Formats: sequence, structure tokens, C-alpha cells
Amino acid sequence: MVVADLEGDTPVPGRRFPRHVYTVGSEPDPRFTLANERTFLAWIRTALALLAVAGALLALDLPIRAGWQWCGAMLFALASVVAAAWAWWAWAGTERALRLRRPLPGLGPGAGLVVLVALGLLVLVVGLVLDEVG
Amino acid sequence: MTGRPHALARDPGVQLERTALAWRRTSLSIAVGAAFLARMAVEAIGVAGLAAALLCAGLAVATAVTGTRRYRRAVRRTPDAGRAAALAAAGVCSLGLVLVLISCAHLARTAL
Repeated sequence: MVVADLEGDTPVPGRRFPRHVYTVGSEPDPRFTLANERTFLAWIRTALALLAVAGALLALDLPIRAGWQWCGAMLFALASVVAAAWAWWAWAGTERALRLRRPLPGLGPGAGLVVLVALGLLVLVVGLVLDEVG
Repeated sequence: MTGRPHALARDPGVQLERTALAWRRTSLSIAVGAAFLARMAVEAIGVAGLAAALLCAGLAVATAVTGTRRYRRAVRRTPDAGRAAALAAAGVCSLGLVLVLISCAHLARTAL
């Protein structure tokens, strides 16, 4: 399968991945494509930061009641998975929209991440308080 | 269309270089995460954990290679990000899932 490039004269060799993105529309301005990539990478680094928090909660001895510490770690690790999955989804959706010259998709489900993180923080605070009191 | 200069010509290497650098630092972060995870996983869930961590490390390396290599000879068009992006997302997802598993293992031990 070949797809024409920006100028429309040199065909792109080989199969492009993923197909549901590259088999529609036409090549967008390369600066937008690159910006989309950097946005994707920013989400990935967010996921890694959440991973670091989860890792710290698992590795460090903190004044948080045990069960609550593991629960907090699980929530942050889960948030990290959501962020990474969202990074991919948003990249593909935006690239498609760029190719089709349609409005770009919004934050949408990515905002659910905020809820997860808030929940995780809440669990940690409760665990901290319980450890103080108990 | 034929008279229009290639958009990249206006902005010779800058955008490409920025993006290549972004890939490089992200791959490094994934590798660090995988290394940290390997140590923790072995303690918590033994050999299975180590295997998972090695898988993630492999994905991190693959991400680094595919993500940065593409920009060396980008002349007429920007290289596709699809494969590298999928590798990066899959790598971080697996790291996250391993940590979810380790947390569950700890929780199970605490509950019992």
C-alpha cells in the first residue's frame, strides 16, 4: 500500500501503521504532526511521573497505614496505565483529524485521569490520618 | 500544489530536532522506570516480575531506537510516529500493569 506524501508526487513506500490513521485524508502540515507527537510524549511522561509516585509508595516506608499505602499505590499505577493508553488514543485521533482537516478531539476521557489521581491522593491522606490516630 | 515550498523548508531542522529530543528523553525515562521496576518486582513477585521488567526494558530500548532513528534522514516528509508511539505506550502500560499487580500482591498479603 502506498500513500502520496505532502507534495503529492513521491509515494510513501511500505505499510504505514496504524492503518486507520494513515489510510484516510492527506498529509497535514508537518509542524502539526510533530506537535501532535510532542503532545503524545508529554502524556507519556505524565504517565511515568504517576508511575514514579506509585513506585515510591511501594518502595518507601511511609507513615501511612499499610493497606491504604498499597491501595494508593494501585490507584496511581492505574492512573499511569490510563494516561499511557490515553496518550496513544489521543495521538491517533488527533492525527486522523489533522489528515481529514476536521476539528481536533478535545480532552474528554483524559479528564477522568484527574478523578483517579484525586482519589489516590484522598486514599493517601486517609491512610496518613489513620496511622496518626491508630 | 507544485509551486508551494515544502513546509519543512521554512523551519529546517528545528521542529524535527525538538521532536527527536523529546523522544530521546522519554525513552530514557521509560528505561529508568523499567530498571527501578525490575528491582522491586523481583522482591515482590519473584521471577515473573523480573520477566515483566525485562520485557518493559526491551520495549523502552525499542522505543528509543525507533523514536530517534527516524529523524536522521527526514528530507521530504516527516517520519511516521505510529510504530514508535505504540511501543512507547505499550511499554509504559506494561510498567503500570506490573505495578498494579505488585500493589495487589501487597494488599493480598496485608489482608490475610
